[in-house]
Amino acid sequence: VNDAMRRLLEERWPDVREEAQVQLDWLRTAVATNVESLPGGVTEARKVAHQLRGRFGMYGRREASEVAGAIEDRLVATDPSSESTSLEALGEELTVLIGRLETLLDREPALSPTD
Amino acid sequence: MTTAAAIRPSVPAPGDSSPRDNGEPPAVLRAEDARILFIEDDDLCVDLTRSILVDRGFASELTVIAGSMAEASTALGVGVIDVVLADLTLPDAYGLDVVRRCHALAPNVPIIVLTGCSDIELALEALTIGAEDYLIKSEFDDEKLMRAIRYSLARSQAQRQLRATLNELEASNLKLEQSNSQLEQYASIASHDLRSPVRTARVLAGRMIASQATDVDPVTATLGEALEGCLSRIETMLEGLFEYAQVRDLSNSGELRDEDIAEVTNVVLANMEADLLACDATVEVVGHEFVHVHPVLLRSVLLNIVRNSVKYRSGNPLRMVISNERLDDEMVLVRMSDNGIGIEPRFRTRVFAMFERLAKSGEGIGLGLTLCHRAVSLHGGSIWIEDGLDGGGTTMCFTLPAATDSEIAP
Repeated sequence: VNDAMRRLLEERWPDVREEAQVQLDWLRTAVATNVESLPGGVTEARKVAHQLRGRFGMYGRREASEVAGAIEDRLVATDPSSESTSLEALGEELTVLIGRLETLLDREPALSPTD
Repeated sequence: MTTAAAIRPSVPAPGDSSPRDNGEPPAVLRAEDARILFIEDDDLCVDLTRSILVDRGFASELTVIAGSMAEASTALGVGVIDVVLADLTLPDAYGLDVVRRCHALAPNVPIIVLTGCSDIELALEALTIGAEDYLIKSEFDDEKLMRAIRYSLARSQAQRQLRATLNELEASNLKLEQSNSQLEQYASIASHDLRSPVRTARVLAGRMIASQATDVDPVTATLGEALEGCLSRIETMLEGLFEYAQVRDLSNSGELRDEDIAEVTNVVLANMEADLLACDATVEVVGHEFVHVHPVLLRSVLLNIVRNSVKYRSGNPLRMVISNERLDDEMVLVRMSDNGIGIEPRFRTRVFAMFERLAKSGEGIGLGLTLCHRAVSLHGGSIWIEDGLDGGGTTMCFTLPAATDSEIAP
């Protein structure tokens, strides 16, 4: 990442973080109240996770992108209508991942270690 | 809450003024002239990408943002897009459907996928169905994006130029084809109409010589014979030309049918019986493949080659082997070998040219093999020459389309 790009990413990061925080709040609520009971349910949660994954990646937050990707992948693999799906276990798993994402977002703006 | 940020499409309306009002890109497209369609419903990704593009010299006003497939379709319908940058997760389209629909709307516009989906299979399939590149957001690199856009633009221009050249070539071929067709029509009419007066002149010359048979002076007799020989030769050439000019019409006549090569060969040999007996010939016919051809042209090819074998035989009795075999699913190979005087390898291509004769004497006019080449080519086959029998001679090899009715084939 060159200096101009780094400046651009840092300049735009607060907006991204703010928007992401709103989305993470929504995700946390969704998980806490059981994903499938929300409007749109799992599908909407997947979309949010997918968007965060891409957005964090584009803004140079690779680690955050990977965690958002893990949330998306977990939701993609979830079939809430299946009796074998343990929503309780899913909820715990997602809560941990969302917590990790929030921790990453709380850090000072810095590009991913790979950069 | 809104998970997809608000979008601000700036899709151009048809008739929008642009630096390229004719819709055609210049021969060398500069970054600042490139029209990019960015299909993305996340405005934070749009803002970042747009800033990068502007930073790298792309004109902000030429970058079109579409937040949905519907908006993208409108932009592509206007027809002034040079490259598409597409996300695969849109409110009204998902995954490869985005690529397919863009490609269907603008098949010649390169598409670069920029997505959060890191599935390698998806990436490969996107490339297979027409995407130029596949970039993953979680591995985003502005340099990679720029390279992908510039390379796509360059490839697209090269392909556009290639298409233009191919179109020109096709147009030239069409003209050439028309010109050849007209020439053949002319040759056909001219040779047909000239045959009658030439034949009459030959007959008259013969009568003139006969009428003075007793007291004609030797010089006049010699000149008369030369005149008759000349006219006879002109008549033969006109017949050859007429036959040659008919080949295209016959092959295009739609009167193709399945023919047993061995059977047609035997008919040809029966027609040549007197000549074959005169040179003590033995002919072996091998194979019973069927070909899908115009019957007159097949007979003509076989007849010309047998005639050549008779005409250009060595001092020994003529021996011929005429075989046919299936070359592959589509073609049949015919080989007609003799033990004649043969053709040197260096002349084996030349002999198919019009009026090309290797023997300076003899009755040939150099059209027989030209006609064979033409007839075989018009059927989609090839013809060539190999060594013949007994360490000499000639083998005329040619391919013809196999019979279409599989029940006929042996």
